[in-house]
Amino acid sequence: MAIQWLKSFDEARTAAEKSGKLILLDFFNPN
Amino acid sequence: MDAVSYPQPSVIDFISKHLVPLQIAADNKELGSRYGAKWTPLLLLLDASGKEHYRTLGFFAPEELIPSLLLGMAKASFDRAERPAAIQHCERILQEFPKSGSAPEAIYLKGVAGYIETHEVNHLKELHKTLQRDFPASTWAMRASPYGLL
Repeated sequence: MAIQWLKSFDEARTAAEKSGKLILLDFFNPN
Repeated sequence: MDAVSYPQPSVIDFISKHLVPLQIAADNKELGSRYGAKWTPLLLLLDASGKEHYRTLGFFAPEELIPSLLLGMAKASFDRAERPAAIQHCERILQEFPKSGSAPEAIYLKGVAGYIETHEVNHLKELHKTLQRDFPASTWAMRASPYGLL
């Protein structure tokens, strides 16, 4: 089991809109 | 965070239940610039419109991450004038994570939300007393110090 991270901002906004939840945006270091 | 905090079952459970998790590289042209991502790890709580309500910079151990996210949820509720929800999130921090780094601010926010909701000055007096007793060295005790004069 792991956190199912979304990779698309639009997808996250749609999910937040539908669920009423906040988005947890994790900016990670790509290097 | 990926190696230590995110794999913890309690963290997985909390985030999956309460939040919409989104991971974006800090060098993402649009979002990195929009939210001023200059260093990582950087965590933000956003509402569905993209408005930011909370941010943390730097590593959080599992036992600090959940109360920190609860504090962010409390702040988002407070911003939206949903004060009973803000108070509930703060109470959860104080019941389940009373020694966490988020606890002093939760005491402050809970008291302020209670005061705005009821106009009862006792909420401010109580938050001052609690911070002086439990977290006298915290900056939140300092911020609450004027309420000691009420």
